[in-house]
Amino acid sequence: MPTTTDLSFSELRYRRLFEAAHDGILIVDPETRKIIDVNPFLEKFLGYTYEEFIGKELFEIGLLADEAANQAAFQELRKDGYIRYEDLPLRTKDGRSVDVEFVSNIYQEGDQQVIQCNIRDISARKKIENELHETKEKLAGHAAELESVVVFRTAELRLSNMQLETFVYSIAHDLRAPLRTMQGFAQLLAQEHATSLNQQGREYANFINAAAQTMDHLLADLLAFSHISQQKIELVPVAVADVIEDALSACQIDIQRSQARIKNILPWPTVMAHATTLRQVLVNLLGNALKFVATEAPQIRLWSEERPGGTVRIWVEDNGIGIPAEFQEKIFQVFQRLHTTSYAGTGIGLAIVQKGMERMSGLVGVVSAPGEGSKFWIELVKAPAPLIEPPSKGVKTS
Amino acid sequence: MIIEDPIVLLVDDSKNDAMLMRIVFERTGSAEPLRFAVDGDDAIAYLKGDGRYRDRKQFPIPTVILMDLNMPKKNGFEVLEWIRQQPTLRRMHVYILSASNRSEDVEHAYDLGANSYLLKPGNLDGLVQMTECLVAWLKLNHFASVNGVDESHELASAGLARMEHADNRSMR
Repeated sequence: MPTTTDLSFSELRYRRLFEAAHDGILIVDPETRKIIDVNPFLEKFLGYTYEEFIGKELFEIGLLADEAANQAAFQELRKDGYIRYEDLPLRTKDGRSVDVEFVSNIYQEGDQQVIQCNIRDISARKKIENELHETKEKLAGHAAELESVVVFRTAELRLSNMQLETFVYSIAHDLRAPLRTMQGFAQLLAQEHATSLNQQGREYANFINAAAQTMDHLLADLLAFSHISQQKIELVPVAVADVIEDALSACQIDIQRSQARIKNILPWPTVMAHATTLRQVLVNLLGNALKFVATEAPQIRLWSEERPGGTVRIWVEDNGIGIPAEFQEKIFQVFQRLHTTSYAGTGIGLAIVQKGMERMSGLVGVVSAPGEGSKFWIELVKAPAPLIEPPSKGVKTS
Repeated sequence: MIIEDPIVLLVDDSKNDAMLMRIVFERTGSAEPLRFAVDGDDAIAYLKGDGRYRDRKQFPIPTVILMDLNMPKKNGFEVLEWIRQQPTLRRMHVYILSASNRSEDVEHAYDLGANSYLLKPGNLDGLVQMTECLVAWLKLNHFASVNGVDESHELASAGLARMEHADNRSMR
């Protein structure tokens, strides 16, 4: 049994807590439902004086919506011993709206009951929560917006890609028609009317003829580049030996004309590639090796090298003029030519090589120095063991 | 049957290409077998024997048609389709001569019943080479009468006249 002194100490401790708490505390009489005590924090928080609190019911200071809610709350309190509202909007005496967490307990004090209500200001937390929620929604909105923009742009890009393909094609196609006429008649002029022209006249006709042929090659290469960039490519096991043979026979005229010696070093692997594209890549590499020679006949060596990571390099080595280090990247770009006069060409060949390898998820590179020839390599993934079918030979698609 | 003097009908809207072709035919021996239509409608008129084409001595049913694809009015595909619908022309040799190497064009032409697809050569030498080959090739070939019934060009054109008559009737 606590002594009177004990009780008064306990009373004092309780009182200190009650006075100093940073939560609002109300004591309510369960019988009358009227407030019988209030702590200073709540007075300050809601802006009512002590006198204004005392004797009021909870709904009168806006703690519960109305009389009915008030009664329901008290019923619940009696039944369960406590009620709790996690998030209750309140209005202060001067009209500010605040958010509170409201917990109410019913206690036995001797032979009578008392209700203690704790009211915690959660406005700051709510504000942060609301901001967080808004930010999240904004973010989701932005993400959705971004996604729709990406979808739209992708569709646009696809369309403009298709338009570009058609455009390049019709340019190359329609430009070649008048070119045929220019070339044909210039040649006829030089050949069939040679006698009625003087030396200069024949030369001029030949200039027109040559220029028209150059432009025709240019357009043909542009078409090939556009085609290799756009065509559907499916990678299947391809026997490199067959493609090399095919590419060599495509270059046969140039090989004979330049009296080139070709060393085709076996064995050749099977790689994952698109046969037509690989053939086009090799034809362009061979063409390059045959073209850029110094004085002696071209000597070209072809061989393969297995690389770590399941890939294979196909090497095309020549004894040509070589490429200075600073130009070794540039040569793979469209229309980049290092030599303006001494070597014929449109400057698209190596761009086709680069684009073709890119389309086949492969790599391309060069090891070279001026006067020491060039070693071009392309790298593709080695095909899994059994070869399904060799590429069809003899069918030459441009 | 082997045809000694195959008649070639060139259907091309490009006057320059047609003129070059005539010159090249002259160079390879004779431009005599060459006939011209300037677009798809003109080609159909020729084959039907409409208007001035009624004179089959001057405008005989050709042994082979060399046809461009990209032409105003009716394009090469449409003419080809029309030809294959005519019972009297069902065996007509139609060679496409186009600057297009697009695989969809090549495939479409064969699907419509083209007998050959030639790419227009980019220069005169190529054109000469192609024409020499073509003339030699035509002389090597055995041809059946175009409609499968008649034996001669004259009879074939008579068949066409009948067909034309039927067309007119159905239009009324």
